Amino acid sequence: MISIVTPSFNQGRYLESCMRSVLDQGLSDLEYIVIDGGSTDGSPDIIRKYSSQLRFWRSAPDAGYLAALNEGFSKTSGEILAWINSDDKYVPWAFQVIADVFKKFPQVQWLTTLFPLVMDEEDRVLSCRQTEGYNRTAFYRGRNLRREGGFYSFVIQQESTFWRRSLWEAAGGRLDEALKVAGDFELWARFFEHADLYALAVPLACFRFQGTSLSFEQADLYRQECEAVLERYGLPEPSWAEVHLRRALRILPPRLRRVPGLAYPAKIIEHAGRNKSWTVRPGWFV
Amino acid sequence: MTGPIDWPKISIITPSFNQAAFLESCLRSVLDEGYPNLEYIVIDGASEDGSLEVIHRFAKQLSFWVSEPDQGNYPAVEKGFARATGEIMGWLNSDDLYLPWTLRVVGEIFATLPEVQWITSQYPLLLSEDGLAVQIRRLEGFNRRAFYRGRNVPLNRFFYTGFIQQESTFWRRSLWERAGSRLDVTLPLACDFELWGRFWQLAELYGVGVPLAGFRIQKQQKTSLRFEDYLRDAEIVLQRYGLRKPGPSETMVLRLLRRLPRACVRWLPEGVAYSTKLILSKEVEQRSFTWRVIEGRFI
Repeated sequence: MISIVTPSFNQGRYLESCMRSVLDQGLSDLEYIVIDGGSTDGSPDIIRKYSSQLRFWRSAPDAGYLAALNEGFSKTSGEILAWINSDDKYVPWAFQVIADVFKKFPQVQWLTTLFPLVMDEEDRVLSCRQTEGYNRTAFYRGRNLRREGGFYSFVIQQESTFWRRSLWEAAGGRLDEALKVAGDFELWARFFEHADLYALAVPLACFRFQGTSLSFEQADLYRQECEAVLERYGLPEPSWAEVHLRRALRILPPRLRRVPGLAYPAKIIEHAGRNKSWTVRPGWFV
Repeated sequence: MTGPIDWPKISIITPSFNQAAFLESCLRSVLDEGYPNLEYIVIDGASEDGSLEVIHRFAKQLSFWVSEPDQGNYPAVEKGFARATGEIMGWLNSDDLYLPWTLRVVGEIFATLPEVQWITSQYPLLLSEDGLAVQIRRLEGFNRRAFYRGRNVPLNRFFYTGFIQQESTFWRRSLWERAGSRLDVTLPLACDFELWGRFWQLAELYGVGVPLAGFRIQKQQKTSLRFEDYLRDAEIVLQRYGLRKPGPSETMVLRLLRRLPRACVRWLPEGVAYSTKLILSKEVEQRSFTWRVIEGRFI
């Protein structure tokens, strides 16, 4: 069973589109929980409309975004977990693909997409990008944190990230409410202590770009919180010389980039084609 | 995006014949997006497998539909286009799918970029038999000279990089009319490819940086059962334009050149590297987006 949580607060304009992207997946084994922080923009009416399809929902003032998520996850019982913010959306095939992949690969504890999508305020997809995959050491050194220094490449798209309950519990079974905005990044840091992140080679969800979105206004705060998280792990940020050496290596054909000590291995899940199934292959990036 | 859009009328044709298992999801993928100025035409070849019941259910939302014996898939598409009145055109086979944003992205691109005559996706998506996305690839772009040399059909597997995915391709009526307003149904399999051959004579193909449609890989697919025949048809098309396939030595040079850093590609002469036009979204004052044409190069 897949359990999804949506924290909601005054995003009524997008909430229905988000909820329908969850409920219209046509997955019978789905558990959906919506935690609304006492919205005053009609959001509760939208939630009520779908309440018969929800495992749990409530609308009342709460201690904020991460507390709402923790409350939501405490109500879940599924084997696969994820959350989606009330302004983002899944693509129509997401859950069935996720279910297939977790079923086929017991070793996969968590995964995200290799192809993050971004959409605008009218649900139109604006961009698709091919990322390079993910690696624990690279993550702890700042590969997935947008900041100066030249080592950053891609963020881990939160709405495209799914994990097993066993990983969630091993990592503490909660989001860190001491933070204000970077709860996802801090969770990824704890997940990486336990398991590698696999990258699945199809799009899974769309992040909504809004000029005024929370993460946009608070990008600075988000970055500061992430940096504090990385400091706990104490891996050095690459020096200027290392960053430029890495850039120079990217000129080489992919096979020659696998310089021991510099190249990072990644795990990619992709489909082998007609009459075949999903396979795991190694990837590399510098 | 900035400001309200004057949505151009988009005409979509779905040819249908005994694909009832997939037809509903196809129709829904077109209709559920709610594109404000859609003309949707379904041409069924007298199916006997329940397709008609599906079409009946959606009949109110269709601009036109008919079910009568026809000459096959491409003649049905042609019959549909003969009825179409939209400014923008495309077709979607009854086992394939649009994505929830396809028509609005297409409408907006044609509304805001008047120089663009035809577009396709840089990210062709493949679906499994049960309609799940299983593969997506990024193509570097499209180029006339490269097309006529076999870049978009696997005659030479080192030169080929990817098909122009039919269901992700859309064009203006003016281009369709200048190209003769017809499909060449004497080529039973590669009619789409033949149409691209004529379009390329008239206009550049722009690659859009988002996925637009999914192609369903089926066990019993016309183009998969007779893939060799499709390739033969496609080669016949290219020969009409004086096909000059890359030889072994050129292929080897190309494979070496592909290892060059991206930055070097711009210094190679046109013909060794190819220029391409891409349509990507661009942020405007950190508040909204607009579609922009970007020049690219590939080897």
